[in-house]
Amino acid sequence: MFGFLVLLGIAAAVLFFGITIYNGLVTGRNGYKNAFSQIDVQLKRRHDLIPNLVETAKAYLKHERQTLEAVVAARNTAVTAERAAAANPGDPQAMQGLSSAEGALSGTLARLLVVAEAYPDLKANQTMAQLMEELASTENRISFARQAYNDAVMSYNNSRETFPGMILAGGFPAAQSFVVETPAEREPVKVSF
Amino acid sequence: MPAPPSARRTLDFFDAQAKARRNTGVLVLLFVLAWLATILLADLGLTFALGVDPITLFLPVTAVVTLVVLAGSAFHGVRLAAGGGDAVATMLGGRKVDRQTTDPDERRLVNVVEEMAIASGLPVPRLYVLDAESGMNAFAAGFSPERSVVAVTRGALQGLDRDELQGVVAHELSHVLNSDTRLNTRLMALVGGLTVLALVGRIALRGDSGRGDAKGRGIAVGVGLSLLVAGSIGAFFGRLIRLAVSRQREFLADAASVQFTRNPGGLARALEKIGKQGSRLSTPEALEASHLFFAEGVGGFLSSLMTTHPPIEERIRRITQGELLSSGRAPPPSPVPMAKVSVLPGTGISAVAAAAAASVGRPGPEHVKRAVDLLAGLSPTLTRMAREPYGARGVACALLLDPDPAVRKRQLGAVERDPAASSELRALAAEVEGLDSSACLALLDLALPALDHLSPGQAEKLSQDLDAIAVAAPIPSMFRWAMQRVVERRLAPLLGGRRSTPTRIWTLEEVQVECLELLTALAWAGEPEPVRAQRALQAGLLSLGVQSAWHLLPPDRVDANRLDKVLTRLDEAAPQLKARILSACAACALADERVNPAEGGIVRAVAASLGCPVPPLVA
Repeated sequence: MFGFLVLLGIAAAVLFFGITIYNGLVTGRNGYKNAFSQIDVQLKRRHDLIPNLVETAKAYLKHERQTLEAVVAARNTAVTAERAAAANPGDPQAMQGLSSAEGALSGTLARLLVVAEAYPDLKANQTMAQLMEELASTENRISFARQAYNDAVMSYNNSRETFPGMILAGGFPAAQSFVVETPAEREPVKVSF
Repeated sequence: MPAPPSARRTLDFFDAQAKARRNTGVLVLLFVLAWLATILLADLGLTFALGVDPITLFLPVTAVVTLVVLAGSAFHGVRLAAGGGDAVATMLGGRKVDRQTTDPDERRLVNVVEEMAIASGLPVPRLYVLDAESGMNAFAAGFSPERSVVAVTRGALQGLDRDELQGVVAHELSHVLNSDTRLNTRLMALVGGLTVLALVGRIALRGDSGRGDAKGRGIAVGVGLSLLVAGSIGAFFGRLIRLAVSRQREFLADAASVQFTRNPGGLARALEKIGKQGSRLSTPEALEASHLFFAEGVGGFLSSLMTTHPPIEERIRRITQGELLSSGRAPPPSPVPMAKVSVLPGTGISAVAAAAAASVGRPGPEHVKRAVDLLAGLSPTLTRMAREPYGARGVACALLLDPDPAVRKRQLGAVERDPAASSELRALAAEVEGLDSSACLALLDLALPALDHLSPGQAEKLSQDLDAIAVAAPIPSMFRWAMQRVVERRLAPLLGGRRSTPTRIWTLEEVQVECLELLTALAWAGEPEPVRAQRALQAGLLSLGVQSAWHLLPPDRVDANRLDKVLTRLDEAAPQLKARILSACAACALADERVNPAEGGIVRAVAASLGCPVPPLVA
């Protein structure tokens, strides 16, 4: 009888331990999904700002159609990637897609800014200045939210890869952090007149 | 069972907390009975299945059933508590509402909830919308006020006007105030544990098909069946208990909603609409959470026995009757004894102070109006910033900045790291500069929920920044210390601190020194002149119920550091004791019938530190 009770006690302890691990993993997963929604809000905002920006710039940049079209195309790709990632935050493929789409968008935007430098009228435009300001502040927010998301992903991935968590990690796929690669930022932008 | 009329007007946060604890005791007893019945049933069933006599079986059966039920409850409990209200809301198909939403219906909901939260001194809860539900319903869930959520269905969002929505939201927030959400979460966990037993039985029944041995199969079927039946019956009774409790709490929440908004029409019309158009939910998970809802969420089988809510007609009748009762005499008599003590004639303590002391945890319409005014007075930039994590962090820093330009420059220098953030902080500082203290506190309240979204690293950095700002000021202001304290309390869980403090102090004698220090700080903050400060202290002591004469400590004895320690210790006090301390603080601050920023701030910091909501002091 005594042995039976001891066995039962051990079984209870193991069970409780398992429950705690499982719940820790669930909390971690909810944590990074929640953190992604913060990025998502800001990405949407950024995507909403860009058409206005292009519309304002269009009147001045008559000879830069290509640059503007590139921005619009990059924005549309980014919107699609953002939807895919929002539907499945942390999914490696979706996050990879989002990373490169956002990177490409940042690249084309940077090019647009360089081009705009050559048009003093555009720079003096009130709406344009406001939109640029808004866009810059949205970028800050995105990088802030991205930091929170990446922290959440890291702590989730750590808990599913280290010892007690890895027992149950089968049902918990690894999450992908969000790093924006901006090839255009690394190499100096060539300005030709 | 109808609630007695006296209970209907009483809505006291601490009283309700204590009552909720007592209720939990009764519940545990009832659940023990359900558990014993389950064991007996399983024992009898297994006796037939295995052909062994019931006495030898009794002990192992008890052990197994207990283990399964406990593990099940623990599983549900930890899941619900860890995820908080968010877990429940997500389970029911809720979508989190972005507080910056531009959708007009959602915008209205966000505004109503923020107004009501600031009016009641509750932290602004997280909001969810159940998009797939066209019935009109709403619920509140969560283990503590800080982690509570309020969710409404799409149907309610679109079908109810502002007044009606306000009534519904007030009803839900009073569930949070009354600790009903915590009780409900516990109930869900316990019933969940009992259902696990039935689940084990079902698995045993299903798993038997592979085995060839006819006798073994017979036993497996017998064991599975008896566990299934016993578990189901146990869970059924568990549900009945849950429902009985739920029906009672609804009347209380309705009464609280009316007291809160002083607009019975809004709630009554909302109930009427809901009665006509239905409040049913389509998600299958609704059954498990049915007791959380504003109105009946599920129907059908055994519906009259299984209702979680009283009939709508009865609820409307009580609300409208309640209005007739309360319109006769303007201020309802205060049910709190300490308030009575402080209106004793000849003590020099005003009725205003007494009313403020009594308003702890019991918001009224004047607080709602004040909250609406405060929120309307804030610039749209500030409110927008406060609602998202990036801006909220800046708002918290900006609120702590000193008005003196030289000091401010040094403070900004202390936190300057990246140019983007610091230029943003400068802009925010300019916006915050003109705000008066109550607007500052309202802004802080708006910003707090967004701070929950910081990552631990970001929270750590914010905490360091706040420290750096505080240290850079030569003379620390009590008001800014208080705001810093409020923010630090909110960040504590992110920094690895505990969510709730266990109760270790039961009597006032154990914390006399701390109380004296706290009240001294408040008295000096209100009055630099010793005689008047002593009067304020006296008012506080009277409200605290201290007979012996205490004297003011010297003003330099209690600094911000000391107050931090005092508040940490007082957090370990029992709820009823916390109520007395808070009321004493309110009485002390209002002794001269006006609240200066330092006083208002300290009371707010005390409230946040003790984890209980206090409406903004209105003098």
